Amino acid sequence: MTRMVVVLAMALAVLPGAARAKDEPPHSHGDHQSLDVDRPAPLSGSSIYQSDREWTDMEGQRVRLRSLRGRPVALAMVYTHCTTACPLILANLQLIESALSPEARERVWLVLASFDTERDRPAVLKKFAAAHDLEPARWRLFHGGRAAVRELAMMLGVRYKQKAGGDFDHSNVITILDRDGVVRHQQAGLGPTPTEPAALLERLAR
Amino acid sequence: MKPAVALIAVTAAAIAMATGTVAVGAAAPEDMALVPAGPPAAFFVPGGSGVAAAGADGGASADVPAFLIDRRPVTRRQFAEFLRRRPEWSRSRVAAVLADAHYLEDWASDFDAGARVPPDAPVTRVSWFAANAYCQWRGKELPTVDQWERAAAGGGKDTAATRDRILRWYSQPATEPLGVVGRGAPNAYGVYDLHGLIWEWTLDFNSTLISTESRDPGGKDDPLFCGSGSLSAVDPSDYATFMRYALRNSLRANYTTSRLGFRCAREPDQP
Repeated sequence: MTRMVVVLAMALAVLPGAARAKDEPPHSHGDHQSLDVDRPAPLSGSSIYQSDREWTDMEGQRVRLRSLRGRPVALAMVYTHCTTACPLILANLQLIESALSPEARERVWLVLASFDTERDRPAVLKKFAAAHDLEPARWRLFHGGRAAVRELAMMLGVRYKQKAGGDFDHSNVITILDRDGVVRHQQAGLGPTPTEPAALLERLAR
Repeated sequence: MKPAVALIAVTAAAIAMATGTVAVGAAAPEDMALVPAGPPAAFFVPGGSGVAAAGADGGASADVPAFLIDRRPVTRRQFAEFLRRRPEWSRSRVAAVLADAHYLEDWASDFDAGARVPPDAPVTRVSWFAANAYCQWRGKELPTVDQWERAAAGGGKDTAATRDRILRWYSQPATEPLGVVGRGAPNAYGVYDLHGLIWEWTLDFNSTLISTESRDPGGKDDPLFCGSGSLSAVDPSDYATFMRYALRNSLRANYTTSRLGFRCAREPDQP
């Protein structure tokens, strides 16, 4: 199966990514120069890493989703002021984390991308990660602008709407990505124990 | 230099907000219509029972600020120009995650729309990502659902007769090639083809959180959604609007269909 994915990725390597960085207004994030190095490498046309949007991680570094490439990913879109569903999504991601073998745990990313372009600044995300004992070696928390958030939600089929009070209505989805950022599984809803996503992530991490 | 420019822009915006001048008097470019600020064409109310609940979650509808919207949908001719300038969006190069396998499949080739359909017919078979990229290239954005519905309501002139006309269009199978844009009468804002020609992408088509599960009496599937996502209709007899929301609810952003096109919108110029 892994081999098939690799072959597919190679077959699609002739398709250049839709490079839209030039459409983006230049950002001025102070003195942070550290864009991740974009080596031209074969990337599946089905990969969400086709996106060129910029995010900021909890250390304040500007990153693209592509920086996750190389490890399988369990990802959810949340916001940290959420008191209803988001703690349950986080709990489900932590269940996935604890279900992994120790070896696999070192070879995955667990990612939270925030809907909250205003409040979830990198420092807020960092505090949130510390408060929930999220191991920085595998947890990545992303802050993005409106265009980045909208595009990621569009690629994942996540529905959301900001309410007048600043909170968000949103669908609760945990997405499993393979090493190349191709969606392999999505679990919607808060109910079920995430055994299937955990088992898939374990396989992808081997 | 850039921070200084940004600072000036922010200051200008702050002054505009403080003085309440929202460019209503500003001239719109010829190909765009100005829709003045006003309440959204309310169709759903949040958390309600059909009564416009007084914003239990702060969800009482805020006014839609004034905006400019293209008078006509984007045509095949216009989209061809975009493709020549942004060839990464041509059908042989675009990534599958951004446009499905049917993207522009009715075109003769990558950059040639062909002669079967008039060049001034609306472009269809485009994904949300491609439509969004086109509008950005033009210095615009896709209209939001609230903007589109407000423009389409035409200042409250969406009467029962109009709804019947829309429903007749919705009920006809789409077999004929599309006609050219701007042929019918414009609505009260001077906007053409909002009904009767194509369906249109909106910036936030994925913002309606209604359950597709008809057995769910709450109107939403609680485990799937955070917050008070439940919605109910203000006017249950407005089937035409139901159909637009249902279509939007069924879309994914990389889908393309033969009757789904778009137009662009943007903020009014500051005076």
